Amino acid sequence: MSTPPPVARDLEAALGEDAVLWAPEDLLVYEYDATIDRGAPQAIAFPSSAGDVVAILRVAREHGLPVTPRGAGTGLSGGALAVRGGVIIAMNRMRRILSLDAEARTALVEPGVVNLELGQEAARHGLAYAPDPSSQRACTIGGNIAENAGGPHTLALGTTTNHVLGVEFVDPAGAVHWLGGPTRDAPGYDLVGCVVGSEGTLGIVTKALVRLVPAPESVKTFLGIYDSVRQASNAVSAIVEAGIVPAALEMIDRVTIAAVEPVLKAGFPLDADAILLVEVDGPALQVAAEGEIVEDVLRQYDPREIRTATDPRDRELLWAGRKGAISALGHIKPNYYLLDGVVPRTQLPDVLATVYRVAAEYDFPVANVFHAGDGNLHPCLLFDEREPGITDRVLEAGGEIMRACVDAGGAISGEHGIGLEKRSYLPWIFSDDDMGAMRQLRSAFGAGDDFNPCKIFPGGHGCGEGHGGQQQKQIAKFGADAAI
Amino acid sequence: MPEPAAVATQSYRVRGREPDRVVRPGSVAETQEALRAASAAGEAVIVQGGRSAIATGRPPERYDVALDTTALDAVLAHEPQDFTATVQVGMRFADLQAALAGHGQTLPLDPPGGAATTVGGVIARGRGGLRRAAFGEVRDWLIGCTAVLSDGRAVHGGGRVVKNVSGYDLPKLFAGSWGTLGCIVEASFKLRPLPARDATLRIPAGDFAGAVGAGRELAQRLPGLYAVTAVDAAWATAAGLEAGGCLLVRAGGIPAMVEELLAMVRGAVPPMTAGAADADTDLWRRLTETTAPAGGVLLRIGCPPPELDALAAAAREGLPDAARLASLDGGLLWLRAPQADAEAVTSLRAAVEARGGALSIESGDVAGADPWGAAPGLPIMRRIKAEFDPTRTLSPGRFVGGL
Repeated sequence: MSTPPPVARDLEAALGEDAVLWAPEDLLVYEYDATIDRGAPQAIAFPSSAGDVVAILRVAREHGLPVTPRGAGTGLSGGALAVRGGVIIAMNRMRRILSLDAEARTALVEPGVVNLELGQEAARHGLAYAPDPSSQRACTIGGNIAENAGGPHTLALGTTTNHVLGVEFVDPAGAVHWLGGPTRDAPGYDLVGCVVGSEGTLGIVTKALVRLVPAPESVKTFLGIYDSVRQASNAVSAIVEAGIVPAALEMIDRVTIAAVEPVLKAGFPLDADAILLVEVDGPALQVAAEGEIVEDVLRQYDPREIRTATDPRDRELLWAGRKGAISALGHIKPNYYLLDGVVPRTQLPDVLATVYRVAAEYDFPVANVFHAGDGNLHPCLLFDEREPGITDRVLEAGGEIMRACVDAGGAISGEHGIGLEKRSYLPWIFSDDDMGAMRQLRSAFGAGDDFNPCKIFPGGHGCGEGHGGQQQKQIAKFGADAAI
Repeated sequence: MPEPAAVATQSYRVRGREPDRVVRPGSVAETQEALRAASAAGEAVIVQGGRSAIATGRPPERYDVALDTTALDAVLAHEPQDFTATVQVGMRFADLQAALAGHGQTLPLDPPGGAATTVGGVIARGRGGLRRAAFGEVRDWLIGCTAVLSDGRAVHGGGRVVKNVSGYDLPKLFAGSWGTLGCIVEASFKLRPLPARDATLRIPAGDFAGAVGAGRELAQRLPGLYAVTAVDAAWATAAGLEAGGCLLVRAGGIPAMVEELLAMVRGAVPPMTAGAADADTDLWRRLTETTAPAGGVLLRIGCPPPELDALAAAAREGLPDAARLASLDGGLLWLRAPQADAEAVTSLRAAVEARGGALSIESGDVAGADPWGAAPGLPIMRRIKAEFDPTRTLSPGRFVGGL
């Protein structure tokens, strides 16, 4: 039997033996997230309070080791990996919903609360928690805050940043702060706005006060089947131009249809080019009125077929093809490289054309399942990692696609974050001065080289060379709960 | 750069202090040069646009240069089909809204301050208005921005896309920073379609406390409304409304839906008699254009909406002569008092903060009272200020904690 490394012994002394893992077989699962790269930590510590987090930071500092915070490990950019080893601070045991105020429409939660659990608790009060990443059965509120998580239903209501009002927060030096407050009125800089989406690189959230929204009175879902992606894209633009902000506006393409139809037997024609999913929600009257307009617009672009549903079971059937898409792709190839680009919505048809062209040039099947309403693409390059040299090619193809997003006036992540995966691309959209200001913000929060290192920004001591180095293995296998 | 030497400094006074000189840059490069020169010379700069909120904040520690942004007034891009726009910040907010309205689009924000208010001023204040329960704050619509730091660097964050997690969210940092971190020069917003119908129901209500209670109940029962706001007779008069004290209910969207919503509102407030729905949205602008009375003060309280009843009562007790406006869905209480002493303001602030809210003095001097109140996370804010403006060039001492 092996003996604990010194850092684990000290962590056990501070937190108790049951709050620390150090045995090699226990560490293994914490080497991964939903990408396939790995980082080997020396110990995993499970805090139960902000005070525990402070203690963990102190012990790690005494041992000169880096720390990396972690939620459910469902992230898609390598953000939870302990790239330089050290201590992983796993927030999973802080999973209480501390209070829910139905009148003020807020909830105070610990960061390890699973997104879906919060949604279910809110539903008991006629409320909803709006951000709904596809991994919501597993991913945690803390991880959602780190990545500013979105999901199919954030088109109308925004992403996580629009729904977090305040946080209890431990800064990298171990000071505990309350940032923000029950409303957006706390005077001073918007520190909550800085923390949300900072990918866990500014400090550790130990409580979050989140906004809840009234559950919609009525919901109607439309599924339109089209012969061309361009027609479907035009329909997307026309819906928005008609003055409607749907709750969700999603598209899946031909490769995806071919993958999901044999599994779901939903009756999708295999030679259709695109399926659009549109959802409107709100007061019954609004849903009826907007639904009519949506259906009219969908018809104007020559659909093969339009299906509609209002009751929850039928709606779920329409959504099945979208939500089950990524796992169905495993029937085509065993591995995928999932990209997360975002472009102005009108650029979607051209950028999609580039995606198909690049994939064809590199000879990869590519499936597109994405949030068309907000221009957030998720091209998924399919391959078999056993083919020699193929990971280099898939990364190169991915880079070309990201480049096309940037050239179209877009950005390199809509909702998955930069993490480890895309940090070498950050200079494509930001100048040295821009990144300099961001690094200054990190310094102001007191985050040094040992706090969640090697994320977001290129370079860094001991971080590898980025793209082509560390990133070499940023490829997911099917089975991971992909959060798109 | 061209030297606008002839500009009169007396129209750039801040809390009684006059600057030595005024610069009015016409480009980002000129802004960079102006700030680089000022910080190198150890001068203090106050960035200003329409000056509609110039009275807010502590008196400046130092004040040498007024940086007037109003020459930076170009629309850089408006992509109606993408529902985004990028503008220079010296543009008047009302002009931006008019340009957007030409394409059936809008930014659903209601900044106080009237016609002179610039886009930059709206961002620097960072606040939503009376529709904030429905549409949030400025931060929720600002998708990208460029700011010039005091050392002359122009730094950019965010982008022109409506969803983005690429690098730190600098636009959130600059929104609501009151000109203390950098001079915001360009901003990108996401936009919304203008509703086909935007109607306001005016329900006369002589008793303000009663209107607050009825409005709270409405906001709770009908969450799809744009705004539920109560004003007392004094505020109505100051805003030029004829009706006297009233409850104002705003609904927008597809006409049939709006009519239905307003019918439900009428049914829900039986003791009161609702007037006809009014398509005039200008009254909402007039409501928040109200400034402090001569010699008096204007206070803003933001709080969780359920606390409004209690805080309206506390305000009545502490400042019995104040005119009142309350946003019952958004959790705002504005007070316009002919006079207020530090004790009244401080004890009201204690009641507000105890209930999770914040009180700021928007204009008017109250000797011995801080305009801002407690800022959670102030140590981090101080370090941010030290990183971004180490020479303390930008509005030194004006913001929370004397930042």
